[in-house]
Amino acid sequence: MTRQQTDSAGPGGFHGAFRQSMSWLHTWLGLLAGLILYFMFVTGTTGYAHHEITRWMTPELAAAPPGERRSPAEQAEAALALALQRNPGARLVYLTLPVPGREDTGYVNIYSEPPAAAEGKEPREGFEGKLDPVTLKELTAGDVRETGGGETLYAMHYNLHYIPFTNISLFGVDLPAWPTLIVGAATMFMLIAIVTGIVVHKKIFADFFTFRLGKGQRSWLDAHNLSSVMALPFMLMITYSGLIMYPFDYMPAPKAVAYGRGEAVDTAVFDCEAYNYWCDRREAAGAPAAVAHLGPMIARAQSEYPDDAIKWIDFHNPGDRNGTITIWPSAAQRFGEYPYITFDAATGEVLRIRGGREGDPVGRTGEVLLALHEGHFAGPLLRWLYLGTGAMGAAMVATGLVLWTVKRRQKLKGNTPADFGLAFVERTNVAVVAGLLIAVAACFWANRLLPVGMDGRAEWEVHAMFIAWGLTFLHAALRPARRAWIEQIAVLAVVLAGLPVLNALTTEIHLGRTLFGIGGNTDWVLASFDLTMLGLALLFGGAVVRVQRRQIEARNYRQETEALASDGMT
Amino acid sequence: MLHPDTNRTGRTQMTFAAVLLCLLGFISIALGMEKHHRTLLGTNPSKSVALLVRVAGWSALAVAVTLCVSTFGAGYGLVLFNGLLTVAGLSVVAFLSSWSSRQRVVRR
Repeated sequence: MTRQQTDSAGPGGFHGAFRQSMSWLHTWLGLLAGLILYFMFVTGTTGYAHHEITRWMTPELAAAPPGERRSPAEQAEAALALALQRNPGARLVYLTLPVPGREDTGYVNIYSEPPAAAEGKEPREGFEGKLDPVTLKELTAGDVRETGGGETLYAMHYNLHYIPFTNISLFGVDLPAWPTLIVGAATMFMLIAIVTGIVVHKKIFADFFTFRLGKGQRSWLDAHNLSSVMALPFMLMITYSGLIMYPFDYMPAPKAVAYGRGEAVDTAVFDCEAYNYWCDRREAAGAPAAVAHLGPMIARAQSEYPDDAIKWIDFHNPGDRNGTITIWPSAAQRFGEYPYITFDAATGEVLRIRGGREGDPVGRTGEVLLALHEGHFAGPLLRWLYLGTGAMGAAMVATGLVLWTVKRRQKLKGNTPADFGLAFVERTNVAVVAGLLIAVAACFWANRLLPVGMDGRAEWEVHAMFIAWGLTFLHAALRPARRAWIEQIAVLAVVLAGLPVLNALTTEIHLGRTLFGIGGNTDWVLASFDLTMLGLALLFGGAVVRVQRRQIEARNYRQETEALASDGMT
Repeated sequence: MLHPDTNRTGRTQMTFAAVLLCLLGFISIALGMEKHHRTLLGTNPSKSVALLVRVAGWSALAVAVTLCVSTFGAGYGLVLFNGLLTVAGLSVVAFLSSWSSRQRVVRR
């Protein structure tokens, strides 16, 4: 008998066998990649509010009275001067200006790269810093607490924070950095899990609106299905776009053939042809030339984008005769469009005006997928929807992980103890699902509790997060799984509810002010952070109370029936 | 796209209308399914009624997506519509779930 015949003769025929093998794939890939995927969904989801989180994490700036800010041109001139003073000969300087509205960080962010090092020498460090848009002075650790902010938190979902982000070479093959590889593998698993999940889900239409509460495994399955099916377009989009965002990392061969490898790649040509960016960057001439006044350039850009704030300015070889300056408007009002104007740095002459819809179709497709993934364009309502569906992604992975253990638990007869595998997964699930959320809250606690001038403060916020996460693993290992769930979710509710309280005790941006204007101006962005934490605390606290009450009821019921039974016997 | 004169209130109203249409659409589609029809109304739907509410439901969703796209443009509108669908879907699930558990208590 050929294989095909066996299949069609087997239980359920070919379709049954196919579905079964898909089910196997779904179950085991899901379990294997679950930890990393949950981590990616939770930290990645915070990215939809990373400006807001950064604002909450820099209370000194958020609390400052809204002074009269200098013009974007004055801010940019001062920031460039500071960057070149601290990093003479900088090859690249990137400025991010504070723009009014939700993206308002309250400072000019400066990032710069050092000049190319001499042959055989390590390049020195570049300069990164913040500039006050009112006084045009550098903001130091004494003025504003050093923090990674929302940026560091959400960047974890693709850089995994502790794993070095440097390209690797194995057996002469250029590979992307380890985090990119790990995240890419997990995302591929996710894509497979979604597709196999749709195949496995026999009654995707019949069960479309069905949620049966209080029915054990059935309820978990319903929750798992609902969290994925109800946001299926989001799940497919976020996974696919996340994967396709690094085409040349995951599929390096075409780039190697067309553009060469390693040092041989002409990055300017490649970036221009693949991404439509930086088409006018030129080799440094080696002849110095002062940067022309930024005022007219910014005014020119502003007239090109009358409805948008000027947000990013990047300088390539500033101070060189061949230097260029590119000015980008905020992407907040545009769907998948990233237009820019490039100027000659020395003369101020316009080199290129790129309209948002111009450029190579492949690069444009990439830009739209990037925009969909990151939601740059999303207004307040859509942003909340993004946050909600991101949280549903986390819930989908979490319920899937729980379902794996519930299924196996139910197969155990009577009081048979769980084997090592089941016990192990049950405990790690607690620490992954509840523990990671405690860890994120711990990061926010550390932001308020670590001394303001402390050395390496930003890094210690992250250390605090991972130390807390480690402790939840320890706790889960030592407690019975059921108790561990209840205890960790209870702790989670307490630490979340504690955040607005801690915020009120340590800063001036408490809810009294941000909501009711007591002692300052109201501020909805800051208030929504505190209120979201309170809301989540209520959600998890409510869940704990419910579960606890049901357990007590079940115990009373058992005791009563036992008492009745023993009465009957006498 | 909205006429440039249309203000923010106009967009908010359109969004609100789209949410309501999504809710109506999903409720109608649920009414076209035997299980949920029984939960909500206690009877099995006749074939013609089931077809009718299903067509009505899908039409409401079609109007909602048209509204979103015509107000916000194809890109933004479609993304927003998908988000609104999620919210509407979850609301209908929550409603049906709590309704059916209440029914069970009453019948007991």
